[in-house]
Amino acid sequence: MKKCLCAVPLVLLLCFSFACQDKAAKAKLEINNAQAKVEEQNKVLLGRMWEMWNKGNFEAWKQVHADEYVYYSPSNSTKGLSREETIEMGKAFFKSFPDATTSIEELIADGDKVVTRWILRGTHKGEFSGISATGNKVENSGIMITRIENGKIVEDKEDYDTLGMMQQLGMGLKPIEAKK
Amino acid sequence: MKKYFYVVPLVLVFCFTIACQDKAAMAELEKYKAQAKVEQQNKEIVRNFFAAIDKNDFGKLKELSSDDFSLKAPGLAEPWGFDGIIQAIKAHYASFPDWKHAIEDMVAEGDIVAVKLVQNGTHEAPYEGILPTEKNVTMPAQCLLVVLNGKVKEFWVVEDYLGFYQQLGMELKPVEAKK
Repeated sequence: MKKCLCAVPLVLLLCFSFACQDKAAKAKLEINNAQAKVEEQNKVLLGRMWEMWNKGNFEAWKQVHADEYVYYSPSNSTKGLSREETIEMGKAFFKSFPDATTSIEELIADGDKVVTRWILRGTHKGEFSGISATGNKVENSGIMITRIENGKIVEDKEDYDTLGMMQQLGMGLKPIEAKK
Repeated sequence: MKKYFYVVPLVLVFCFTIACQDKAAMAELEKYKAQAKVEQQNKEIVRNFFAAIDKNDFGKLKELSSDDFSLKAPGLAEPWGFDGIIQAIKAHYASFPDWKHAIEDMVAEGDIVAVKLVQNGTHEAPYEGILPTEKNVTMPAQCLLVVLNGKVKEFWVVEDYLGFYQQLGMELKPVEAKK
């Protein structure tokens, strides 16, 4: 009978060691699950943002961007646009291309960042970058990296086919003529 | 003393339950770890891919690319295969021998690695009819690379070519209608 008495604490010890491992694994799992959840939420946020942009709903668009938001395009620009400046740029863009639609081709999330690969289609119906309306249909693609903090977008860095865009509007490259 | 006979199996059952839970949690955790490991490896492959371009190490580049490799970029009617990218690299480095890709940010999820980078190099030989300017020009780019089984399968790239040509002394002008 005394044997049993010895076995009980041993079994209990075994129990606790399993329970300990369980807790450590569960804690790590919780961290991973929380991270996966944030990444999923960030992707949903980006999907909503593009929907607002496509509708030209800048009031709603503003709500998902932080006060200190900055937009950089091309991505290596040293000076970006503030939230208000980005909205002005967006409004001007929709005057040039009233039917513009950006479709999300790929959306990937990692930590606090989401990357969108997009395709833009629209018709050039108003002045754009000094070029009068051509009625041309344009198609462009770009990639944008977005940083999110506390559920709000704080920074976008975007690149797109800058040359192709202008070529589709009837422009071409020529050597700069020497000034007289 | 007989009491202990009841306790022992109960404690054992308790043990097994906890051990079981542990296994499920461990399995899920292993999945996360495996995914994180693949994403880390994919990032490393992408780093090596750009380093091989900078070194013009086409053997290494071949090793890092899948047989059905394709390059996709805005304005390309058809994707380029591996030979297409090699030709483009050779042509580019003939004009810009010191061209470099500096990776600034990477985002990985599953098979895809997104890269934000800045390229720069010196215009030392004619480039598409433009005489050498000896200027060090900079061009940002963002890319998505699909990496499967340790090899780059798809390479999407978007670059600021307008800014690039402007640095080479070109400007935008309306294209005259052909007669």
